[in-house]
Amino acid sequence: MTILIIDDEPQIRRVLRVMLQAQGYQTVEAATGADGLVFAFTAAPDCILLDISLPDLKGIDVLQSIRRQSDVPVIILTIHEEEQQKVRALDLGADDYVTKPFGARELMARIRVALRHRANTPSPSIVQVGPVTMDFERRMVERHGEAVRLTPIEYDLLRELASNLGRVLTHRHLLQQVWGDTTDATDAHYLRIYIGHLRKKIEDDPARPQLIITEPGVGYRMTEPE
Amino acid sequence: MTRTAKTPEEALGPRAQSLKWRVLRTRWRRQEPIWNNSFAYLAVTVMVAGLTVLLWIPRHLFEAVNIALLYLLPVLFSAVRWGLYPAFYAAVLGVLAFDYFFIPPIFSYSVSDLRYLVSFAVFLVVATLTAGLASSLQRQTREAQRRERITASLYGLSRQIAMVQNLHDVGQAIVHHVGQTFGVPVAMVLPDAEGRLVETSQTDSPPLGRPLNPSVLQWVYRHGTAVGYGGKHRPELLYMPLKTEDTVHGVLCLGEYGLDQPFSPEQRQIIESLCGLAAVSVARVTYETQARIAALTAESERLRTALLDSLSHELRTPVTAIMGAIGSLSDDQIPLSTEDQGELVSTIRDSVMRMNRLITNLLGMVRLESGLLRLNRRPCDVSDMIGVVVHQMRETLGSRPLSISVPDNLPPLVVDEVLLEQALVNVLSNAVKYSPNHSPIHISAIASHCSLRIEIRDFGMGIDREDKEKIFEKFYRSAKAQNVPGTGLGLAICQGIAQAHGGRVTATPASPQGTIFALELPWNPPPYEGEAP
Repeated sequence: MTILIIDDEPQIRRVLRVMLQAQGYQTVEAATGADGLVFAFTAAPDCILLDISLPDLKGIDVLQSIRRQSDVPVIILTIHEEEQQKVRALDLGADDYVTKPFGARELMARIRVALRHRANTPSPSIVQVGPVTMDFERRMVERHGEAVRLTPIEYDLLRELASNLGRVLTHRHLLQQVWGDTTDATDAHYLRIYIGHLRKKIEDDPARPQLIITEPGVGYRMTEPE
Repeated sequence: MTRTAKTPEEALGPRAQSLKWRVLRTRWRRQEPIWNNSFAYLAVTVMVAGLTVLLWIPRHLFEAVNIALLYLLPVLFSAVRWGLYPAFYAAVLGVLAFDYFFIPPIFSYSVSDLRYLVSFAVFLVVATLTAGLASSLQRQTREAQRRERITASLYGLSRQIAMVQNLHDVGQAIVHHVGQTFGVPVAMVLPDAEGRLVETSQTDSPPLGRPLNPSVLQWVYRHGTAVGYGGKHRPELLYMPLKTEDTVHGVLCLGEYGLDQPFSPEQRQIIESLCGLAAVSVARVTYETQARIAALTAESERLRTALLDSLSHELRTPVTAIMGAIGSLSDDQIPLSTEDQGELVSTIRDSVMRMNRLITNLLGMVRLESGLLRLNRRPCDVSDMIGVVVHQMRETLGSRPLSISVPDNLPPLVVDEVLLEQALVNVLSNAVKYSPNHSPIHISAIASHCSLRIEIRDFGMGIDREDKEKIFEKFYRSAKAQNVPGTGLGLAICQGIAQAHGGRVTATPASPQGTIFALELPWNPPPYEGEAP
């Protein structure tokens, strides 16, 4: 597995290289967006880590150029305050993002999820997340072995989140997938209400959600509880 | 010594001689010159002649005394209408006509009965006195009316500029008011930071027809003397200095040559008064601005010192810890147990997290201070927001008992989610920092009809009454918190974020112990100037 790192800071590249090689990945490094684009098409990476604020090309432009020709997973490296940039990158086809400063565990989890998602393995019909078991073939959801009654929209929402386990899904993505294209993509209010209902039904403590995590200003992510 | 007080004509050179620039006297001539009012004398003559004709026809019915009395009428009338001199003229003309036409021998100035001479004298005295009294009464009335107009104009202007704080608005108010009062174009010229005269404000309609004359402007500004352009006593274009006791603050230009709107002496007096008021206002705003800048400089000086102290301490401590830990870890000479290694690694992690928090808060502070803060307001779910904050703080909170109570079905709160979460994280980490390990923390949301209140209660050291407000000041550290590391930035940022949302953060001591921090936010926030699109 080869991972391309596009970041202008040598220190970050070094840390990423050590981290990734320790996990058994091979790494290719690029310090500029232009180099990054060359390697993206010549080194055939399995995943790309892209710093969104590069000195030469804008990270967003690099992402767009990659997406025009390739389906390779791209994970954006960004900073905390730029949630609009995160949403934009995700809408333009980035798979996920990590916020600087990030921990090794978080980054590895994102890479694994992105690689798994692109592997195009048919999503399993039974998904188990923490105490919740979802059987999408039989449209059954159980929590601690007890059946949970969900409305059709809650079920669709849960299904979308669970089949993208570990990935962040933007408000717009969820609205389009669950409500269809007719919904006004900016109206995240419905989504918020249904997520709240869903949490009450599947979370142990809805006030401190462990399964459906809010990514402020971006969207939601379903994860394994810690 | 060279002559500094060159007139504008001299300053402009010989070519400008033909232009009718004139230095205007400060004291306006109140009375028109006697000979100037030729219409009045003509009218008086016609009146006396008419009266004579009227009296001539029924002259046999009247005694001489009655006729003399009737000749007082033109005197009175012209005294009221045109003032003293035409009245005198009427008196003299009246006596002459009376003598010539009605005193025997008729059609001659010779007098048959010498007693008539006494009558003439009495008539003249009475006429003069009446004329004097009437004209002075009339002058007083006019003076009072004029004063009233000036006062009204000054009052109107002072009301407009009393509340204005910046120079531009003062300029606009003055120019607008003067322009409206006289119906002429007005421009105000003030010196910029380098002392160059720059046109600050002008009426937009009608605009000053021609560019202002820079040499005349300079001259007026330097000498503080008014200059006019046009007829000698009725200039059409005025350059008035805005002058307080010894300083000229700028120049007010009004009128336009060729519009045929000369300024009367009375108007010039009003203009002079208005200029005085304008000068005082300009001076006031200028000095206020200077005072504000001075205060700001002092404040930012204090803050910079505090920031440097706090930064050097707050950054050095974790750096020292990290360097020590790394030194031990990378030194082969020091044998470390797995446990010790783990200890050192978590020291590094804690230090780095502390530095990261500091950077986040510093950036937040800078953005709040610099006005670069953009609110990206969206409807947010309160319980979700608290969930995110608790999730972010999970490592800091550790195994503390934490209770969260948020009412069901709260309406969405329209806020900048990311900023508000930063505020909540700061309050929560504050609660953790100043309360013993394993002591509980309660988070609760209380909704009223106009606002939402998020309370975070700890069971820690509490807060002194005098610190209740101060802890929200930048870099303020309570005396009893000196041994707890911190920059004194977190709560200040919190307050800044709350205020940007039209809300506030308060701290109150809880009984029996601990502190309640309450973040209060209105459901319908007032607009904020830094609203993101």
